[in-house]
Amino acid sequence: MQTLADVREGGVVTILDLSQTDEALRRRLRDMGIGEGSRVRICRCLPFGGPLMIACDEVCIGLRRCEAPKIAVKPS
Amino acid sequence: MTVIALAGNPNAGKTSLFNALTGSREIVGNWPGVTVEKKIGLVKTAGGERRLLDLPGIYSLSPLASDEEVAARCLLHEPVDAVLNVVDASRLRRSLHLTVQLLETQMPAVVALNMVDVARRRGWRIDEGRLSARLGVPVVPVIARTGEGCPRLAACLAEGIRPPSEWRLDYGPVLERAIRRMCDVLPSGPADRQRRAGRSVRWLALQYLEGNRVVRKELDRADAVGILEAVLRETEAQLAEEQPGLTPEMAIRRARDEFIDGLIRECAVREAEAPDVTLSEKVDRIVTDRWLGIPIFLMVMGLAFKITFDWVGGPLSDGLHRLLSGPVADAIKKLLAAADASPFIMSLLLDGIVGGVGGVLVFVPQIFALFFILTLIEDSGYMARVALVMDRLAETIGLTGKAFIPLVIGFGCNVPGVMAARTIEQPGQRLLTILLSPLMSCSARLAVFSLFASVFFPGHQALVVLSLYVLGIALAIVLARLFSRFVPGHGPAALVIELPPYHLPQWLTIWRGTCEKGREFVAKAGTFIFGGAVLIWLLGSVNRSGVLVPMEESFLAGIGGLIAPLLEPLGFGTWQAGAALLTGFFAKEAVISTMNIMYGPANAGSLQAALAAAFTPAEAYAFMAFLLLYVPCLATVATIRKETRSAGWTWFAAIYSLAAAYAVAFVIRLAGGWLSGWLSGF
Repeated sequence: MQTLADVREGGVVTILDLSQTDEALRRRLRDMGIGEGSRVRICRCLPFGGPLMIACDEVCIGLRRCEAPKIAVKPS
Repeated sequence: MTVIALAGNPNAGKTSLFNALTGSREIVGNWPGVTVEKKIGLVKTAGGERRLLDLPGIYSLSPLASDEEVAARCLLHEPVDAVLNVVDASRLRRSLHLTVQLLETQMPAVVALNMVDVARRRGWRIDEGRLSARLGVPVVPVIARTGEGCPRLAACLAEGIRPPSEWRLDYGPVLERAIRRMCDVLPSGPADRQRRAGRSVRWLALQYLEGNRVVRKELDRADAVGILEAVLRETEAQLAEEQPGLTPEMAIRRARDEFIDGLIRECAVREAEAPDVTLSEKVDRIVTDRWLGIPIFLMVMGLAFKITFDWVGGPLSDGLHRLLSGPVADAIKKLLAAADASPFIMSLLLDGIVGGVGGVLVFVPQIFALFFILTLIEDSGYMARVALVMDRLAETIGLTGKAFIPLVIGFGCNVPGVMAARTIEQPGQRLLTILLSPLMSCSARLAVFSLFASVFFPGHQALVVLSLYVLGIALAIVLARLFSRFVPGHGPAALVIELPPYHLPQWLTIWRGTCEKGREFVAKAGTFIFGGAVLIWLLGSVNRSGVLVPMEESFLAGIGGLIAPLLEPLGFGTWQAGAALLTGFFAKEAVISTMNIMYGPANAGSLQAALAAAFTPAEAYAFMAFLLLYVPCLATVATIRKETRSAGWTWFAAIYSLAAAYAVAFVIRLAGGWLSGWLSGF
């Protein structure tokens, strides 16, 4: 299973499953318009395991790297 | 008067719209029980005046963070006649989730479709007529930043807003059955509830099913709570049977998603392909660069301080000082002499008030300059990037990047800094940020540093002041690691932060933001410091034998003398330093006014000379470090108490900072000889 952690900077993927993340994070992501089925692009991976910058058609968010392995994705 | 609540997503342009619609601000206060700012403005319309009530930015009426609770509570409890919903046209899908929830309250509503220009640039054209027809409420396109469309919006508010009576969303058989059963047992709004969201039982039922903690708390008091809980459990079981893992919250969201997708298909037309790379992305490529991000942040902060102290704020402050100590003081002296005032009154006015309050007022330009820059950084969208770029660093000391925002605001004033910690969702993270933010050197302390630096380190003011800021930050880093071991509820934190598109600065918003924050400083000078200055002057001119005694024999010298031995190991064990630090607890900048009064006539030329005689540069630096770190000012302590809701943590914040101040000043004193040699070598 591919996760967000495996995606390189500039990669575009579709989110398959958010159920492994904790509830507050999942809700906040959905509030911001990112959920299962969203197409996201990894704009930036900050160095030393820093956060990811993710763009989804309308929004751009920052997300901690440690959350990425919990988000299942598929290439798109 | 009609009250209209302004609701919208964070970064949807709520503040811009509020400023564009309201001429004057009627009330700026706090929401009951919390310190989230409550702003009410007046909208002048053809149909008379309307009150516009600014709610905190929210994604949903079901709150996650504590500042979002305010919005749900307001709709439940405050008498609100209508809702003005700001919708970001360039992020229509997401914004409409809130719109759906607001319409479900059945309160009269108007949708302001903001940022239509941004949406157009991204290739979207939105048919607001059709959107209005489908939602059953007026939809007015606006560009809040330029004010375009605002007159039409105001006219729309004047016409009297009708409730979206027939509008409702079908949530499917399972949920609809649950809603019906809940509606049957929920009390339909009593008379006093007419102007509140709570009168729509359907909305209450939906929010209850969705898990809105404010609504659940409210309904837990209802008689039918047993039935509500039973219906919720049954619904959960039925949904899980339909599809494993499906919760009522997810089912409700899915129904709204489907409705909104349909709405967008109908009402939004993609006219052109979106540009591949937006300007924001281009800027982000540089400022969030892997390696350049942090240096750019440090440069921005350095530039901010350079402008505040050396380029703009400093020179203006000097001019104001010359004006106050020269022509103004002379004019008052002449006036008083002409009025034949007694020496007592003359001394009170000139030494106590002009000297004390004036000494603080001269720092107003610097403080406004700093607030201006902080507001600019906030408004432009750069602040969120700071949180992102600094997150890795923050993580190593047990904070989130989001903590940098309150901490940076703390440089202006610790009180809003402590309050801004509300945007952090995790309680442990929030407490830690609150405890550390008083270490950020605020503008009040800056006033004292500017004075001391100009006396003891002329030509190197910016460097010396910057070193004190760095000292506070360094200590915060060390203490963050220490405290994170025992702060309750502190775990690895998630960072989710929205990075809004960059905006060109909008001067009205920045000007108002600066004034609002700066006004507090001036108000403090008018109340706290005025009172304090008079009190200090009185204590300094009175003793048991009479008035207008030499200050060395006054009550003030006595009180300061009691503290002085404790300060002796730090190198400034004088009664003046003791008395000044004591008044500094009320407001840190009061240290200047106290010293102004103590060190002779209200003439800062001689204050500077007196200071130069009283301290060596090393002692002065130790004093500044002590002032930076010791017990936060009264207002900050009160805010910490309010925000943490714990006397224990408030005492902790006060005591740890005093201990740290003592230790650091002591070390500086020990290193004093070497340090002064090193600094004078510059």
